[in-house]
Amino acid sequence: MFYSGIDYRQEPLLTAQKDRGVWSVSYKTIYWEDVVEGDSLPKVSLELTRDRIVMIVCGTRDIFPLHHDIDFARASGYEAPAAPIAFLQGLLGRCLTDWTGPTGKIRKIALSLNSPNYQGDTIGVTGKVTKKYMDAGNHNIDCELVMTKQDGTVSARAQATVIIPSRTSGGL
Amino acid sequence: MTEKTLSPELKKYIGRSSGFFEGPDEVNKAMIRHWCEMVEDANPLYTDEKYAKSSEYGGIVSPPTMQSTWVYPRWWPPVEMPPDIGPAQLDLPLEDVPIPAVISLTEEYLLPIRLGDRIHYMTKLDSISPLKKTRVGEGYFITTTNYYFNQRDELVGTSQYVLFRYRL
Repeated sequence: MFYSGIDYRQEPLLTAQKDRGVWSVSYKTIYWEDVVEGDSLPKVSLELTRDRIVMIVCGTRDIFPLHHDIDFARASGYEAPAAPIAFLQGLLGRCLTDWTGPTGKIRKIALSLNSPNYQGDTIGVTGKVTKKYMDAGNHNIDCELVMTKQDGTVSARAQATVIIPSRTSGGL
Repeated sequence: MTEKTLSPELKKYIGRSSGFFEGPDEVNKAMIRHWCEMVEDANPLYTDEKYAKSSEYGGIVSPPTMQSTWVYPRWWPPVEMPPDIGPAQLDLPLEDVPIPAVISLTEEYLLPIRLGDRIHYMTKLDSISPLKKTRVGEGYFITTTNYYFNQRDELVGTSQYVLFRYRL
């Protein structure tokens, strides 16, 4: 399944990249007609460095010490500070619109938690299209996403629904 | 131990709604950028004014997944929250099961959240399970839904939490 010569299963449709020292963002639109059930979403991965832990407090405003204080986390039975759910949702949202491009609309994310994502972990997110269907005039895509840590542990799973435009019936 | 039914004392809380709580700030570019930096989200609808203006939204929108952050209470000075708001349901008579663990979270995003919007929310208690014994301990599965509204009282989204409140 190709669009403009690019196999979106290999390359995200929305990327920030550095070219000769300058960051720029490029984006394309994925259309309903191009999607096939079973397609993979581009993999995203992010390392939970100490700087990232600070950025998470800044981004989510969640200052509960489990998310940034190593002593508190250990005293509560955790190995290290653990990323809050809001961060996981943000990351899943990013994966979805990296794939669809900015014209994709996230309608729903159902997330179930298996094990904590700790400071020092690298979280990889993979996804695939499970269902393609019309609903109330919208072109819906259901995806299944899996968050996996560097040692292969699944930390969370999610089911998401996005609405994307069609070439023939509207959308941008 | 695992019980078959829920005590009448807890049953009476099912279906109740909390008071409302309004987020401290209107939806703004700085907080959206902090969120995008955190997950390296390059979606131009969130941070590129020129692109967002030319889009169907006509301006910058918040990442939908940020809806609960808009009602996160300020850090200082301390703020009073409605007692029965939020997934932990802190005022339920469940002092004997003090440890909360979120099992799952389902969010729906119904309307775009735009710059300048003021978001407020409330929580409804959907269900409480009978006492269950699990691998981690014994406690209750508590299901709640947060409803998020904008300044026109339009429902912009929901979050349904399943939380296990347990003891070791």
